[in-house]
Amino acid sequence: MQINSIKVWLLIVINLIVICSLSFTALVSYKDAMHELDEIYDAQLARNARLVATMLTAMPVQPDANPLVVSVPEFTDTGENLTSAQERRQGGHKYEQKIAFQVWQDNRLVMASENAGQFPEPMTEQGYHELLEQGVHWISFSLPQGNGLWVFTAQREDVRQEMSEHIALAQIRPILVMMLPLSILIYLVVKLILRPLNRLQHSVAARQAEQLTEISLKQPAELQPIQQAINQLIQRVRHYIQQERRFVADAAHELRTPLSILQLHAQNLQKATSTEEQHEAISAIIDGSKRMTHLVNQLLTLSRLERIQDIHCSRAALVSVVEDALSQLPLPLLDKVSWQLDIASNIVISGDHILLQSALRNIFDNASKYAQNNSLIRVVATVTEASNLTLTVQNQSTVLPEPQRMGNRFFRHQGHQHIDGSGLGLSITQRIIELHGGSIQFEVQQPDRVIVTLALPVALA
Amino acid sequence: MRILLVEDNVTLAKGMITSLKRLGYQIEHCTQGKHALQALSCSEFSLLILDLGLPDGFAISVIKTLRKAGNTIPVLVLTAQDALETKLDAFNSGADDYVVKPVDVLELEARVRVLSRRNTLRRDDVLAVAEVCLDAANMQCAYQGQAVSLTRREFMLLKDFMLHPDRILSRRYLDELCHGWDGETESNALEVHIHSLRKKLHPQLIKTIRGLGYMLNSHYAD
Repeated sequence: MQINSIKVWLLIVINLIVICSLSFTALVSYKDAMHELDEIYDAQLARNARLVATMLTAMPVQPDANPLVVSVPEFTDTGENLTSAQERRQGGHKYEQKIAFQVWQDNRLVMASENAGQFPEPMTEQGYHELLEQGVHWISFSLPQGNGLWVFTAQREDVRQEMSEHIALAQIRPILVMMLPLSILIYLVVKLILRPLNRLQHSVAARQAEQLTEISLKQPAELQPIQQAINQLIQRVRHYIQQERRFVADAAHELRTPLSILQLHAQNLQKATSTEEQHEAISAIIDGSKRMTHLVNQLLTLSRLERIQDIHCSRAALVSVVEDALSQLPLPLLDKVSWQLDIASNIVISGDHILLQSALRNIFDNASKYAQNNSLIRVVATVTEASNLTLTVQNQSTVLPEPQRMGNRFFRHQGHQHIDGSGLGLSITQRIIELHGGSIQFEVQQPDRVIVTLALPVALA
Repeated sequence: MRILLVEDNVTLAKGMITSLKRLGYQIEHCTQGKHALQALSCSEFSLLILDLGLPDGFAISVIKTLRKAGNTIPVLVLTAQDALETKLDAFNSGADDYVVKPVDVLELEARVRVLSRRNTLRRDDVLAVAEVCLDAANMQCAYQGQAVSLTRREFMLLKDFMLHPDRILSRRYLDELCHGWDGETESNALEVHIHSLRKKLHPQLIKTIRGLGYMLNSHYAD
């Protein structure tokens, strides 16, 4: 059994509270009962004394006669096993032994109960006293009557003791009897209440690492946020795993395709029987190795950019950076579409120009490569109030774009597989823009218009 | 045996066509899933080699469409993706084999033979009808125990006849088998190959069914 468990703690605490409250109630009612009992017995003692005194006042005692002894019948104490009815004999009650009285006239004993001989001398002070006579505790009451008459009554303390034991037992017994069923009941209730938590726990624990489906248990209000949080976590993990798988699949595709081309055509070359076949194989091998070289170069560029933390900044007009980037594009790509530049000549940008140029060239290269023939590519620069530059490049795509995956490493649109590319260009651009403290966003407006937005800090001339 | 290759990388596809043709197969090529489905619906192929990442989407749907339409053509998936999920997805959708690129063309050819063997419920690559014996793995033919040398086209034709003994094969099918979609369309080229086969083997082996095509007669000796 785990100590650090809600269930165990609940059981311990609830049981303790129940035991404590039952005990406290028992104690309070025991004290109350004892107090009431004392009051009744004390009152009885006083009333008996007063009764005797009143009777003696009406019927004066002979001063020199021998003391009058009131006999007390001896009953054997047969314990507490008899019922009250059995204990009530015709001749009296065994407890008469436990009550005694003496009457004194002018310091001379005139009357006493048979069992009162043990008190050598009564207390002459009026009121209640506690006495210890021959090892027995008595509670006594002394009542002076003025004319030298003293009445003294006493009751053995063990009568009260016995009574108090009875009352205490009467309080403890129900606690002892009730505790077990109560504990069982508490256990069952706690178990019932904690059942949803248990179900949730099992449902999470029984999950395999690959099983990333949401938990859909019916939960009480307190557990719903926890279940929601777990489900959100599962969704996020699933999303990351999917991204990871896509990345691996994309990378595998980009790396393996040129390798396949090389291997296949090299084998073909080995077995070629005509010069035509040889030429075909050789040109395919050259193509494949070019593709591979491009891929490796892009990978190395990206890895170099990953390591760079600082860049050498200088200031230059944005329009010249954009034009330089455009001039690096191959002519067929430049001529494939028409370009519309909308950039104010006074915008000055601060950054590493070579990096910025290659970032922009990658965007322009993509924009033109994947645009419809003779469509328009718009490049618009605006400076916001916060001195931030927004550069948007908009083209008209040949396929339905997937903006959420653009910029992912090795991602290439399924519809673009026939066009050469490594799937790393936009990742490189993204890294360069990040190094300049900017950000890049890919959006789609209308079904086929892709808008790439660069946000960069700018210096106005 | 006529194979449909669906591969969007043209350079890669060209290489595969060259190697597989050299190994005695007729290959047709297309780059998109929808073209593959069209081709399969109008001509007959013995096998489909399918790349998964195609311009018109993930090609698992192509397999699903085929199987849904009741087409039982063996499908060999040839892709760069090696994730277990993708493999399972492909197999569960009805693919018969899954090969990860890059692949040695000899392995690919061996797998093609295995699929063809499985499709015709054979345990080896040796086709035998009466006294004609054709070893598809080694591209060898024997008649009455004597080795017979065949040209590539003759071998291709004989293999298809022996895969379907006593079944009429249409002229169009056999023409496409020999020369492909964009091959020569000389009307008597097929007759020349069949005549040559009859000469090398047995004159009654391949019967002309007038107006329909040709049939390999397994009871020619009777």
